[in-house]
Amino acid sequence: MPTLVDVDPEIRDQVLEAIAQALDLEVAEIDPDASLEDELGAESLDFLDLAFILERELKVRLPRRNVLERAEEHLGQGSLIQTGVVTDLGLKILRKTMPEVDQTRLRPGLRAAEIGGLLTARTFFRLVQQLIVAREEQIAGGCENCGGTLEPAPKTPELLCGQCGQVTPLPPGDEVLSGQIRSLDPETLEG
Amino acid sequence: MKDQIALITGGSRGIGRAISLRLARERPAHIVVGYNMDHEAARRTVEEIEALGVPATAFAADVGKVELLEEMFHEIESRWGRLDVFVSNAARATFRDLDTLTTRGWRRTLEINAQAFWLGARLAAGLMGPEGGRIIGLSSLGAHRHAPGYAAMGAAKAAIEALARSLAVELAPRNIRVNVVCGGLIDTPGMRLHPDFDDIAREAVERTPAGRLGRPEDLAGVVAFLCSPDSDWIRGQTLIADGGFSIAT
Repeated sequence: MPTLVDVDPEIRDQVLEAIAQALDLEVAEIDPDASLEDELGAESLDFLDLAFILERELKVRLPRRNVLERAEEHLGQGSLIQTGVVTDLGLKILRKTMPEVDQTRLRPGLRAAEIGGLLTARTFFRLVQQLIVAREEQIAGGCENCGGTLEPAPKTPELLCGQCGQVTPLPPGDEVLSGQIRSLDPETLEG
Repeated sequence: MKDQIALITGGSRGIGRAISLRLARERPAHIVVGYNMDHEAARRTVEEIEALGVPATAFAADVGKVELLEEMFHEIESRWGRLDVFVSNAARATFRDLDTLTTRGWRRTLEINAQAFWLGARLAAGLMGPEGGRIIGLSSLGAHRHAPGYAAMGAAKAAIEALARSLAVELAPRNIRVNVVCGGLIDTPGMRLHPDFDDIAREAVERTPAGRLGRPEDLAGVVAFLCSPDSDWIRGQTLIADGGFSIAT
């Protein structure tokens, strides 16, 4: 079993609230390991609602593509998905990048269309935490223009400088997670 | 549209983007581009509008949530004090057959499409002055006929067309004109994500007298017409712009 990421309890609670809101559930009804799609009834419309709520409430920018779509940019088209089926290398990347997923579901023959069914509340705990860390790193770096203090804008996916007023976009989720993919050890993956 | 303020929901991509850019050619005072998630697309569309010499602002909102829709109109009121043109274009839906359609999917589809048109029209009318204004909804042929998995969206679009008739009558004393533009299959980046796009497109072209797929600009031109004084005598109507598809099949 891959190592699970320690998640800040506050982030976990906020993500659970967002899922409950998007799926019309009580927080207590959400098993963090349940598939949002297969067991909690989420459909594409709900995932868009969830993404909107998370971005607005938690001041992050979620990725727009799934992990394999991002990884294929670095490893080459067709290396991770062939004729709709996830390749062995694709499965290895999923195991590395989605440690919270029931690993028995990452079996040969997994179809790309089934990846959405792997997502659980725990997937979003991890994802949001990664994005918040990236946001805080950007804030810690200060304003590129004047070095002033950055803080999240109230209604837009941006950081505002309290000193000069410069607006900077929040770190895009696709870029943050692409960095994670690039950092994977190719030899371990290929082995 | 000189000196007018226009809001286009779902205005950053596809048909909404084409409407935003087409209305920009009419030189309004400001265009507000409502959008949901694609910040980059919204930023690019605002830049394209501004490149045409028209100030523009992007505003992220989920039009299916009452408080967020109200927040967008409050923002418009606080910044410009009025609204002259409201194009309710934002659309999202669940595409399922009736036996797998969930009550949540049904409710959200109606909220995002039909409720957003009705409530948006009411909020927009509240910001329109004595000179009146224009409210335009977007529909599709699925409001009139069967399409696979389109039950909820078809109902929502049919509701938009029905609402337009009531709104047109109720708002006529305030010189607010309300109409709907109904399109057939439109070639948009979003439509091209459909796994069967090539087959669907080929069939649509074969059955369309005009011999091609609709383009976002085809609908944007009709919206611009409905925003012009030339259309003042048209009230509560659904204008079908589909290259003749619906009269030939």
